Amino acid sequence: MTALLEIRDLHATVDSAEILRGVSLTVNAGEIHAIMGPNGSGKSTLAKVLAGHPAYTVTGGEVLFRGQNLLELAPDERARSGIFLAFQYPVEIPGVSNSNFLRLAFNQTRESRGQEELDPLEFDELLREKMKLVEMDYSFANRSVNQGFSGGEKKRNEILQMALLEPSVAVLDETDSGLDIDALRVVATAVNALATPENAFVMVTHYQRLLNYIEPHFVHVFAAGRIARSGGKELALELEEKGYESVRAQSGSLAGASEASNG
Amino acid sequence: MKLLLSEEKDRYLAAYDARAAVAVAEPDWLASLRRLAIARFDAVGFPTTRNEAWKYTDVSPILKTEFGSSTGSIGKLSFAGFECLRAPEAEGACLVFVDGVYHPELSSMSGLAEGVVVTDFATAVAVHFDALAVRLGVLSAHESTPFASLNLAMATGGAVVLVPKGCAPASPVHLVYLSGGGDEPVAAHPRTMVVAGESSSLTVVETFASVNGVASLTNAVAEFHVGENARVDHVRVQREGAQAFHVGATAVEVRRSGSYSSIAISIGAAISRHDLHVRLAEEGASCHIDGLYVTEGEQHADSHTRIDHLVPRCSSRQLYKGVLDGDSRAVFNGKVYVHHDAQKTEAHQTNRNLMLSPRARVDTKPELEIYADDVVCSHGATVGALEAEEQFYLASRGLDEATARAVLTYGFAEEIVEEIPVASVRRHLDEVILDRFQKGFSKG
Amino acid sequence: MSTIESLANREYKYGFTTDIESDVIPRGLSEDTIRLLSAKKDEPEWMLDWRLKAYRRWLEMEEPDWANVDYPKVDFQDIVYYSAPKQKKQLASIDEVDPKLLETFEKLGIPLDEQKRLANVAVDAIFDSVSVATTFRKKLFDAGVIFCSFSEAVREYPELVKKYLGSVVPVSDNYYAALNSAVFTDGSFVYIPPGTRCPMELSTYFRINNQESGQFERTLIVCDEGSYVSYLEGCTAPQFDKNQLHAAVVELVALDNAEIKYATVQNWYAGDEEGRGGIYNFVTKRGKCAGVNSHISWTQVETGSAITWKYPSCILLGDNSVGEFYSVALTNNLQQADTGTKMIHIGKNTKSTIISKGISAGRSKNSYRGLVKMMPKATGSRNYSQCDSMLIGHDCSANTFPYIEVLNESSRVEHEATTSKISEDQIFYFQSRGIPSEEAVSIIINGFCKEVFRELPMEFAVEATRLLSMKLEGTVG
Repeated sequence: MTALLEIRDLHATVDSAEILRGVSLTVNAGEIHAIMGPNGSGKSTLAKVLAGHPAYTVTGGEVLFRGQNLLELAPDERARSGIFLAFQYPVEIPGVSNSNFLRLAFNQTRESRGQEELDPLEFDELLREKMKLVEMDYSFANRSVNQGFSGGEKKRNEILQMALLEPSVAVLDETDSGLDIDALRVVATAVNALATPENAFVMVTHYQRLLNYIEPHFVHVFAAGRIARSGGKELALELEEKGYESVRAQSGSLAGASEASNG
Repeated sequence: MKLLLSEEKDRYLAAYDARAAVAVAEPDWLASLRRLAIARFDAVGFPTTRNEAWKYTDVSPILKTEFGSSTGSIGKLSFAGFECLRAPEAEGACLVFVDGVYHPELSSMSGLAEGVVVTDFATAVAVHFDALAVRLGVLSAHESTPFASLNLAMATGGAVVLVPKGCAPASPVHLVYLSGGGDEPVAAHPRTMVVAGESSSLTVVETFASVNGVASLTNAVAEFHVGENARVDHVRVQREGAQAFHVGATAVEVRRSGSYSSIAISIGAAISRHDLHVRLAEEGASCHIDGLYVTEGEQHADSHTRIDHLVPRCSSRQLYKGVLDGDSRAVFNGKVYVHHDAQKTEAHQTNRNLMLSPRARVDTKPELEIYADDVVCSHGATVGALEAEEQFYLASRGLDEATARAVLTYGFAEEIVEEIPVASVRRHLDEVILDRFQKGFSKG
Repeated sequence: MSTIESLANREYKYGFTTDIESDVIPRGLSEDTIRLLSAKKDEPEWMLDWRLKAYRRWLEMEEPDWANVDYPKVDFQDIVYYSAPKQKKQLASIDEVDPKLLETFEKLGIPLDEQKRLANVAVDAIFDSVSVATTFRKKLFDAGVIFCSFSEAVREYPELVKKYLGSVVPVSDNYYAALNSAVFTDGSFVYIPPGTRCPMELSTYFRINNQESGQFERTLIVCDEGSYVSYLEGCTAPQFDKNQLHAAVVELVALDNAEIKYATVQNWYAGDEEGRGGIYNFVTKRGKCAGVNSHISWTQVETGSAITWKYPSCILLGDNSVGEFYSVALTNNLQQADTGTKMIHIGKNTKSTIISKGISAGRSKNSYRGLVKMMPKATGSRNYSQCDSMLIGHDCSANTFPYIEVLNESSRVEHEATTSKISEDQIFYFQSRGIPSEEAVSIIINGFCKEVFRELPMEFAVEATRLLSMKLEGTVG
């Protein structure tokens, strides 16, 4: 069986500074991965590189999505083929209503999958249903995309988009940071409801807190641009207890162990 | 600009020649600066309303009045009236000028922090020429007005404030410019220069007031050099008498991470004009400029501001408010100019005008000129009367109409006044403004 | 910043020339030119006198230089002031129009012949200096509406023309208005009788074809008491390396309780990427809300022209009258636009709204210039203005020059302006949801302009969105 997502020795730079220094990770269908690590270790960069953010340049390695080279696709092609990034800082788009934006994204994706587009009425029904899942008031549909949304509302809007687009691989970039406990519960409930044996989730997070609600199959710890350690969910608990320092101390000896630990 | 006012111009040129003939010998650098300035004034002449920058302000009443040259007489000075102008906080760092002439006996310089220089223009020319010669007229040359050129040509009195690197005097420096000290109308051209060194911080108060009801022309120019990481708070209060004419220009340059804050209050003079020009010259520089103009009767007050964002990552904020009563007129023209490549600029400008009389007139022109794309800029301007809803609310709480209007107007103006960092100046203005509004409304 | 840069600028699709035999007078301007032009049009004496008076005033005037635009001086002696396709004297029906002309307008998306023409839009088609056809004349005539070429109005309705011509834009109003008054060749004339709601949209389509000619058209729309009309103007020109002058005058008059909606989609040739060629669009448009409760609304989508100098304005004379200005001005490459409006409040309780959206890209210059004036007797009047700019790229400029003059206490004026950009992050956000970058730009622009687009008739709003996206291709990134 081909892995859903296979990252091999990935190197990437931003403004000529190397941020990713050889990341390797395999994600199979049905898996939930957590990527943890201190600030600046490169975990958010990995999320953006996977989505194709233009500020980052891949300088080495490869990423295969269902066996296909992901890196040669434009960001929108990646999205339509099933990669989803929930942004850490979702941008505001004045003048464009949330519902129009969502319908357009939804229909573009449907079209590329050879599925029928939904007309505005059909879509509206679906949207209402999905909004209930993330406990978002329907009034948000008619507001400009993310404009004037609170931090928590923006994150819910990201999860709403994920629920609509039904990606194969969803990368959640610090979706939990800045959320109060209620919002966190909503996000977690949605992720758990959306997880199936056919898709996979990669959750980038700084805190162990989210993992109380979404149980990962694998936990990876980032340090200095690569995965320093991998393990099961108990690794997250260990980090909680001992902090990232312990990992950093061991990272020399454990670098390279990540490939063996999952896959 | 059209030279429609050549006769008046000739009178000022003659005054320059007369001064040059009797003045004590000046160093070459200053003499040549003056010659250049008068030549520039001669070439341009006084502005008319056909000139865009003076479209709404007709200076011909100023030019029609014949002003003599100042002797600095203080025959009319009433000590009580003068004392209430002085800020006790600045005791020991206060310079007083009458019609542009320095009066050491009215000034006090006993409380200066070490290394800080606060001195009059003539002394600075003699003693601190190294600081002065390289800076005098440099900032005022940008966006210069004919009046500013005339000032440079004619200025003899004025203040020079030099704050060395890292120095942060606890108390403010107060510069008091009085006009109308004698019996005859005179013109004065006072000049202020403030140099705040790297990482220094300073508060400067400039007060312009009249001694009596004689007509006068104050043509003031100030230059502020705000050094790297320095912070300057500037309060400018113009409350000259009903017969006075006031033309002022303040030119500011802010270096890396420095900040300049100013509050410009204009409540006096028959015709007043103030040009404030801030150049944010190095990254991280910022300015916050606020203003308040309050006019009544036949007064005319014109506030022009211009902020140049020359480099990336600078920010500016400005809020100018006006209260107009009687047959008065006010002009606001604020320009924010974001130069090419001044990316990440943040600039916000607001002008609000409150009309108290059906015969008042306001002309406002908030302008944005933007040559960089990654910027956040906004401006807004409003003109209107007091809100009927608000008046009703106060009436429902038992306030009579005049009091309610006074309270609301005072509240409108207070947003600016309450930001004045020197308590005595703030309190004094509070009283003056409240008194004016109460008087204004009770007379109906 | 390179994701979208690779997209090519699409070509100006209206840049073709029609090869047709024309009646052209020699270039140059003098009283003789005006006499010749007037004779060609078979005009009455009073019309010629009016023109000559305007010409003499023009000679005394100076070309304005206050607008924020730079261009070499126009050589008025190097322009052809009359160029008309040769055709049979009197046409019995549109079927007799030269097929080449019909074909031209069809290519421009304005079919004139009976079978294909736009449903419910009557079109006056103007080719260089003359009107070549006006559709739906019978249907309009039955409703009492006069919609014809200006030349015809001078002959057929001299009293109406004499009464209103120059009543809103006087001959000596400004340099280009005076020039237009002297040499205007054709244009549209509309009169809606009292109590009549014009049964269809009226539209004029202007086409410059001759490389040497200027276009000086004159439009006059009069809405009598209680009547209503919606009018739309479109314009294109072929691609020439030489600049061409277009100096039009439009006058609107709304009497008591009348309403005029005037929309423009301006797509004159803008010049190439290096700024060669393109139209100088120096236009005076003004409406007079002469009667009580009258209402004039200007909507403009300005995408073409090398230089635009245009301020569709309202004089709010009647009590309770309403003036509106909705504008989208887009500049790219080396285009320069200095455009805005004047709202002159004279009557009591008058209201005006200004919504201006400027989009600058490339190395272009885009300025909003506006005046809101509350006269002493305009008590209880209101204005709300919003002027937003969007910058795309770092070599363009966006400027805002609003003049606000308030001469009474009880009026209220509010003005706000903001700037924004299309950021790479916004584009990436769209892409990460599967929406391609070109579409993202178009959606953002559409969102930015929506307050203006919703004032346009539906089919033109769609056209305007498409036009803007096309003009911006390759600029974001």
